Order: sequence, then structure tokens, then C-alpha cells
Amino acid sequence: MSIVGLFEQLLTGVPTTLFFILTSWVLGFALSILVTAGRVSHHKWLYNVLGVYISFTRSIPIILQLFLVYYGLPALLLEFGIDLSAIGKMYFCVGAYVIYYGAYLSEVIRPAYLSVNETQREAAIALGYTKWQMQTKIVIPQTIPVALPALGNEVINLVHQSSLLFVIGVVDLMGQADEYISENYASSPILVYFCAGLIYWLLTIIISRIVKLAERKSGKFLYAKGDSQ
Amino acid sequence: MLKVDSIVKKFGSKTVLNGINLSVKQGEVVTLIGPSGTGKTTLLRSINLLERADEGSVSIEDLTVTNATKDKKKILDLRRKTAMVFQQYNLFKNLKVIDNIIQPQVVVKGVDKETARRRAIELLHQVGLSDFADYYPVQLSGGQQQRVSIARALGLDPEVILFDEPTSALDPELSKEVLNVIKQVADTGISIILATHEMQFAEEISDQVIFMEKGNIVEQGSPRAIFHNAQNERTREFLKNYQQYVSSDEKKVEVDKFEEVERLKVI
Ligand SMILES: Nc1ncnc2c1ncn2[C@@H]1O[C@H](COP(=O)(O)OP(=O)(O)OP(=O)(O)O)[C@@H](O)[C@H]1O
Ligand SMILES: [Mg+2]
Repeated sequence: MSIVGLFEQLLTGVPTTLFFILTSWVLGFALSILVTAGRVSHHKWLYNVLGVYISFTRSIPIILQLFLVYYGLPALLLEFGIDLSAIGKMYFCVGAYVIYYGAYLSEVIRPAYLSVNETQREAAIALGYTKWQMQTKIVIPQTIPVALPALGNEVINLVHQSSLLFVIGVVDLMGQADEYISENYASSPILVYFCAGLIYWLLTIIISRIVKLAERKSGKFLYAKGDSQ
Repeated sequence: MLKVDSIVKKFGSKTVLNGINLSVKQGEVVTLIGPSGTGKTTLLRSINLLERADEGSVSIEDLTVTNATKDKKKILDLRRKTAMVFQQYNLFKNLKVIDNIIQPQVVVKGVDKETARRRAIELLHQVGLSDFADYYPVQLSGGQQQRVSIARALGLDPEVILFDEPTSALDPELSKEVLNVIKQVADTGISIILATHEMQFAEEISDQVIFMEKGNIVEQGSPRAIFHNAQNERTREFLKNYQQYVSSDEKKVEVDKFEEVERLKVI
């Protein structure tokens, strides 16, 4: 077995992994913003309904949620005459993780949003900002740097959890490792997994760097202290 | 120009403003004095509509908002004729000093960014902080932050600026620089309503002084009438206690020599 051949095969799984991470994260993040907006909107029933969703989703292992969406949803919809069999596995995976991250990330964003001091909102309103202007110009820019470190951690979590997809047969990085092992009897599984691990490591390092950069850019005002005076 | 008509404000069962009437002419400086918890802040916040009164109305020029007004546009329009300067400055933390002055002009008045920037530079110069344009608020002293917040308010060209104890979070040295800026602002002919515990300053700057207690206006009149010839027993008592407090306070703000002379001439 050649190590180059091994890496070549493993790397063919990387685009799948990246596609999954990117779409799940972006859509999950978007959903979590809506969930957060609902949670802080002062509608009691909305707050409670979303609270149940968050609590349920955060309490169940992600692999179980993946099964529920992948096996359960098509079965359920078939009862109503909707056939999902033409839809690729990947979309179910993304769907499951979006539901999961919509809940998970909202619990990261909401405290960050609430950490923005009430006096900042008040100052904006007092000067004649509309609610929308207050949110977009003052509150959200102050929320982002507070939420970013935790959001960054969640991306890395997602990188790790993406490896569960191979359980339902998506051929991502982990899936490629598995295929390689079953196609090459001579190879040492440990070595294959180790090499896959190296690639995960590299992905994580790159993502961490990007998050750090974003943190520094959005949080200038937080770190400005002590530059002078 | 500005008229407050029979404003009543309750928090729960507690009546904090008990039918306040107030009118402010163009360019007039009105100060609110009175014991702590009397409703000065609440009155300013009601004028700015941060608090909605339970009864009564606020008018600025031809715009009137009553306790029953629901029209958001109208509320916003009236609010935009005022600007608030807070005790704790409340500068926008995420914006540099200059952007704290630019953004409200752009957002609230729709001024284009370049014009707003030029205005901001002028205003920073006016409050003596030209060198601090690119600092973040946390990098400034309290007095400097308060001066920026005054510049931010001025940038909006409000009909009236509402000051809520603008110097009570500051030590005397820093207070002085802020008070000087407020004096300058008063001289430009903008209307001002100022809640303060700085009696000396109130006396120097005011056209009209209002003594409030427990949500009522007890007495109002010229600074001279209030500080030297108060008719109401409550007013006299408040000022007497206050004077004792001040003379026992070594750190009291010194009045500039020049202003002292001016003041003596008036008396
Ligand atoms: N949001 C609120 N909810 C309940 N009570 C309030 C609220 N805001 C103010 N009060 C009460 O209203 C009364 C008037 O308060 P206010 O802050 O207007 O007084 P003040 O004259 O500004 O006092 P100070 O000189 O200490 O600033 C106080 O008894 C205060 O406890
Ligand atoms: Mg007050």
C-alpha cells in the first residue's frame, strides 16, 4: 500500500465533509438567529414552544436525531403520500444537523445578545434610532464578538460530528477511510484512521485560524482597552 | 417651543410624576433640582418618550404626543427633536469616538457620511477632543466620554437637549471640563433641560429653575428667585441642607474667577 495513494483517496472525501460542514453551519446558524429572535421577542407562547424544541434537541444524541430524520421522516411523510426516496442522503444529513444546530447555536447567541447592556439600546432609542436600526447598528455588532469564540468551537464540533455521516453511508472523509480499509486488506486500519485524523486536525487548525481572525476584526472595541491612557 | 402638559407617570401603584407642567422657550435653559428619587430623571425620560406617561402630553413645536398616542412615526418624530445626554454617557462601545458622532447623523437625520464626518470633526474640536477621534470610548476618561456624548447630541441638531445629571459620575476636575462645554452649548442658543445636583452651576446657567419634590413641582422661577428668595419653605430647606453639604465638601467645584465676577455683577 502506498501512503500517497491512501492520502489521495482520503482527500476525495474532503469536499463532501466540507460541503456538509458549510451548508449545515450556514443554514443552522440562520435558523438559530430566527430561533433567538423568537426567544427574545417577548411572545410568551413562542418563547415556550421554542424552549421545548431547544430542550428536546439538545438532550438527544445527534446520531439518534440523524436516524430520526433519515429513517423516520421519509416513513412518516410516505403516510401522507409524499415520497422522499429520490432525495440524496446528504440532504437528510444536512437537514438533521440544521435542526440540531438551530437549537444549539441559539443557546450560544442568546446569552451573547442579552449581554449587550440595556443602556446601549436605550441610548440608541433615545437618539431616535428605530428598533431595527438599534439592532443592526448597535446591538448585533456588539453581540458578534461575544458569541464568536463559542460559535467557533461549535464549528469545530461540527467537523468532528460530521464523521458520523458515514454510519448512514455518506462517503465523506471518514467514509473514505472506511472504504479504503475494506478495499485494501493489507493495510493497517490504525494507520488509515491516523492519516484521516491528520486531515481532520488540519481542517480544525484552518477553521480555528479563520475564527480567530474574525474575532479580532469584529471585537476591536473590546480589545482596545489599554492601548492608551 | 416645548410644552409638557399635566404629565402623570406611575410605576406600578407608585406615582412618580404627579401632573407636571413645564414650558421651555427657544434657547431657554431650564434646570431641574430636588432631592433624590423625586422624578427628575423620569421627567426627562418622559419628555424623550423613553417612558410613556400615563396621562398628559408632550409637545415640541407643532408636534404633540399624548399618553394615548400610538402612532410610531409621530413618537419617533417627536423624539428626534430631542437628544439625551446620560449620566453614564452611554457612548456606543462598538464605535470609535468619531463614529459615535457620525452614525447618529447618518441614521437619524439621513445626512450623507462625508458631511456627517466633517460635522463630527468640527464638534470634536468644539468639545476639545480633536485628538481622540480614532479612540474607542473605553479608552477615554469619564469626562472625555461625556463631552463626546454632548457632541453626539449636538450633531443631531435637536430642538432641545436633555441632560440627566451629566457630571454626577465624575470627579470635580472632570466635571468642570464638562460643565464648561455645557455652558458653551447653552450660549449657542439651543434649548436645554438639565437635571442636576450642582447648584452653583444651575444658578449660573439657568434661565428658569424648577424645584421638584415627590413628583410635584414645588416652586419655579429665575435662579435668583429660587436660590436667594425662595418663597416655599420646602425649597428653602432643601437649599439650606444642600449648602451645608457643599460647604462641608472640600472637593466642591471651583467657579472660574471670571465667572465668579460675572455672577457677582448679576446679583
Ligand atoms: N423603571 C422604574 N420602575 C419602578 N420605579 C422606578 C423606575 N424608575 C424610577 N422609579 C422610581 O421613581 C422615583 C423617581 O425616580 P427618578 O430616577 O426619576 O428620580 P430622580 O429625581 O432622578 O433621582 P436622582 O436625583 O437620584 O437621580 C424613584 O422612587 C424611583 O425608585
Ligand atoms: Mg435621576
